[in-house]
Amino acid sequence: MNWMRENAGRILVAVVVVCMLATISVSASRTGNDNVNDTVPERAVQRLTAEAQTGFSGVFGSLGDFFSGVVHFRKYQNENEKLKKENAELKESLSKAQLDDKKLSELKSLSDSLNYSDYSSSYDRVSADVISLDESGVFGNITVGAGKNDGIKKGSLVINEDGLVGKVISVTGSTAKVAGIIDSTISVSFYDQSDNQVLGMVTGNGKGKLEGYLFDTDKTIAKGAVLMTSGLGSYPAGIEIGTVSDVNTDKSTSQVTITAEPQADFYALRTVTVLTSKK
Amino acid sequence: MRKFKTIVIFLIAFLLQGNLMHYFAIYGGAPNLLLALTLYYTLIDDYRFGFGCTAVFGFLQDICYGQLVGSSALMYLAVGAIMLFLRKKVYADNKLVLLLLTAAAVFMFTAGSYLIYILFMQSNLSFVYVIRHVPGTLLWDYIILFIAELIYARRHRKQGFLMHLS
Repeated sequence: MNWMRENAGRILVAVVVVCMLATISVSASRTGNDNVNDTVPERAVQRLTAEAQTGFSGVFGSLGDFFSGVVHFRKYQNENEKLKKENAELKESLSKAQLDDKKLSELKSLSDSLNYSDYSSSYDRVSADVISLDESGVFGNITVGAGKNDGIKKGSLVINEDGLVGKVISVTGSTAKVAGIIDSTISVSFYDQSDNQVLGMVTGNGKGKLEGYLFDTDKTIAKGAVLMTSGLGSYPAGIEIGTVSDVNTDKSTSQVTITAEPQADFYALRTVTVLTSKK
Repeated sequence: MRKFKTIVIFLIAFLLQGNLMHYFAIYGGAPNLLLALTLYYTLIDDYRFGFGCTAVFGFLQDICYGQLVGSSALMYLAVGAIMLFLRKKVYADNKLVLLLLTAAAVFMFTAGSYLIYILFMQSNLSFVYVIRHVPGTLLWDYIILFIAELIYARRHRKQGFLMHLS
């Protein structure tokens, strides 16, 4: 008994460490399973902090933008130059694209007559502000200011104007935690935008990029090819995933492996769109 | 009163961490306020209640922003405990020692979090990718601790002066 009293501090630390290790292993076993909901204490804490987070995000969002401008002045200046150049190129391609307008309306009427529907017509969209990022910035986890009350469920897909961002891993009434596609626990099947016969699978490579392979060893893919979700698995077809930055072919197995840059910039996310099932 | 103030400081740090700190990221490394507070309450101001708060708010941080609930809390606790131990072994009032201990703490926190993630998530996360965020975080944590130490020194000079008067 005396020994316990003398070592009360150490015993307490040991108990806390064991409890935390147990919590981590339970948490790890539940990650990636869309059918398992958060526990009651988790939901309670998330609900309690959600309002404060949303309020802080509103107050500090613009302040953060200002400081970010100061800290990353050089980066933004280069980005501005790049965007100006891109804008000029886009204006040129827009004038060319207007010529294809007629063709597009013909294709639309054709798809209507065939009753074809892509993901944009099968899902409702909920726009949400990014209210926080994970502290490490390594896993691409974000928290958005919309939740169950807006129809978001665990497993809902998250996109932005660039393409696929990730999927919802936990949700409360007014917030949702999203795992980015650069997370190595998420796999997405794809097709090459320029050739929809080229199919494969990519997953986060643990270095902020995507790595994967082609299903068919006879097919090949070019550097710079744009990867789109194929519709196999839980992701609807036709969402941009990323751009191929490296292609390798295994000489013995002929397996084509690729590395791709994700389309979404996880450090610059401000607003995202969550796809929810149509009511 | 001191406990209340400490909790308020932690609460503000916790809310700022997820909402504002990523704007300050340098080469991907954002300031880690809770880690800076852990170091402050173990290396500069030896206050056990503050050290305990790091685990509690680390836990909240995991629930709100992280994937593995408990990993940051465990690492704050481990880093804090190691720093408390080292504080007795070295002369922590020496600025160079403080700089080295802070660098060791940020590295330990990052490497430990990485190990937990690898072990429990069976992930292929690259250590080089994770570790490249350390310099940015370290730089910010130096700045935060420098400011915190200035405030601490000023407060104690004032207290010492008042005690001297009484």
